[in-house]
Amino acid sequence: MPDLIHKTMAMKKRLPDRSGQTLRMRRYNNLQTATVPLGPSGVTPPPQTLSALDIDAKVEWYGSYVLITDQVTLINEDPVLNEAASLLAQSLRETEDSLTRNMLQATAGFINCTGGTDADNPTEMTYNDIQGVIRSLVTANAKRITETIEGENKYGTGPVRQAFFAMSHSNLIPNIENVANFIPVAQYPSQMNILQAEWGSVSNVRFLVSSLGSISTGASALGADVYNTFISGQESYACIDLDGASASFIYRPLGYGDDPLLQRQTAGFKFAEAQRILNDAWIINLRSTLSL
Amino acid sequence: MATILTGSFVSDGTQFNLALRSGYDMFQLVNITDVGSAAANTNVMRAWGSSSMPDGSAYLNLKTSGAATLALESMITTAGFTFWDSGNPPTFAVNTVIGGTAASPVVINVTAHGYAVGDTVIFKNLTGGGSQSLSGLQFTVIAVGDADHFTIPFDGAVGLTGAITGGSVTKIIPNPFAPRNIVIGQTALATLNGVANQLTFNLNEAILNGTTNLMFGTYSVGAKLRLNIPTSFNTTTPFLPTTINSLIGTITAVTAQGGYNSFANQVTVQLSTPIAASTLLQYPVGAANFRRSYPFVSDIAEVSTILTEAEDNKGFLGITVGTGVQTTGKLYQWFARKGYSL
Repeated sequence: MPDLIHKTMAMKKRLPDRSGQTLRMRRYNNLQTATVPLGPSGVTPPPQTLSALDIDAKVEWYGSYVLITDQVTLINEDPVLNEAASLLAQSLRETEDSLTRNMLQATAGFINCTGGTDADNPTEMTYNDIQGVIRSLVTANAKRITETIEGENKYGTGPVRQAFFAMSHSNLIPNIENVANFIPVAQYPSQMNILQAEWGSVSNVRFLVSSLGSISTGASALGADVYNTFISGQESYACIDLDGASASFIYRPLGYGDDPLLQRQTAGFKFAEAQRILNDAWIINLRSTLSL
Repeated sequence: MATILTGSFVSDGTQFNLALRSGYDMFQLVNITDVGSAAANTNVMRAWGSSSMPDGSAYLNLKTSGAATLALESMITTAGFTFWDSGNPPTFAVNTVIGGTAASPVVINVTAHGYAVGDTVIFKNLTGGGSQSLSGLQFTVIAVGDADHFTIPFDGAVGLTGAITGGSVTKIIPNPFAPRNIVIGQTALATLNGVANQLTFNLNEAILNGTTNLMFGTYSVGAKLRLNIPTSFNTTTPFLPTTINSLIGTITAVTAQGGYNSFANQVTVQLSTPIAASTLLQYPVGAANFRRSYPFVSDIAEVSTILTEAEDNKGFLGITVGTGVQTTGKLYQWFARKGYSL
């Protein structure tokens, strides 16, 4: 089973049942600062105006099932239905992960890597490209997700800064390791609170990798595959479940429905979910190609 | 065939998409209007296709002109039926670009391109006329001149220094989530349109839902966009003020660039922050400007009064009915069938 990384950094929200199909979220804009003295005149200054952005997410239903005949269960040595249930669970979670990945790929703001030397556009990922993303996120007041891992007196280790998380495809591992100042997970001073899919860190970014990472096929200027690395701060995007429909396993035994000879049984899953970027300034898709 | 679904439509002669949620294997059209007609025409009477046939192909029966009989069954390989599953999008052939005009809009010459209006294409390895910087960018096909020529929404008269001389192009199925981020690719990238704090700019791709394309975005009046202009674009002369990067604007108009077609790709936004008067924002061209990040718009929020702009998965499972399997004004009944494999 691949590592499922794309929902890891998402806010979890719920749409109450019987509330329609769309969840409306509202973010109020910051007020201006009030740096001018009120003065002695006693005149009341004008009020500021509240303003907000409405962010909507529309829940969609997804589902799939397998059909297993009576003969399959009678003839096969394997417990086929048990295997099917396990595979359906995997398919459900991979579907959820892929949906979030696809949403990020389509709607997250992007920056092309340009600091590399592979002559393509975008180039391979470099330290300066990552620094550009960090600058954008911090300037937009995105909050780092993890705290600093303080240095310890252990040979070959180094402190890890408070960090944003990056979600990448596993094909990028050689390029990520080749970025200047890369620290592999094994060289973190503490192995506490490390995610299973974590590969290492560069500056203020910790990388998660998965074979389900995002690829835009043949999308570079020279026709190479472009790898999308989503670098996220806190609360940048959300996955919204519909109450009562977050995930269902559905089994229909032999003879259910139009099956007079008890030949067919089905097992499947169904769920309702929406995915949405909440603040586009707090997540950036760093596009790069492979050079290794 | 275990499952049959049916419906009907009166043809307006245009290509359209029909959602068949269970993924049907066979699709058939029957002309109801002309049954028994001996009129002098060769209207489409019957057409069918299967999911295993090449995209755009169909078997076809036309009416015999002047008789109430069917002509012999024929075959077409374009403008027929295309079965779609955007969860497993097909890949398309890489075509060689022979050339492109430095005109407005740019007309691309590709032998037997096979594209239809509304398709999304991506260019690679473009050469000539400073077109290298357009490589890697997606464009909507806004017109098809003939089998060897198609048009993209780009002003080559301003944006190119000469004709495009080579490269390659591929059709793609864009990511189904909408509204997508879309590159601001037009050479005359942004113009002050004479109204305070308003900007008008052109996008590489169509942005309204269309009947001939599955994956258009849904930007519309009232939606809020963020303008993302990479720093590198501010160093190109003439340039857009650096102050415009990351500003948020509300869409006040959505139109078709230069009236090229009905595929809207021109957006006017009202910015909440005052901006200085500016000249045109030029898209940097040529090899020296090849390696850049692109300017783009991203959807950030919705019309404040109605729920119209939710970010949405527009994934599609169904069939595209092409122009070659229908006759304008005729009532057709359709049948979709799905079977079990033995």
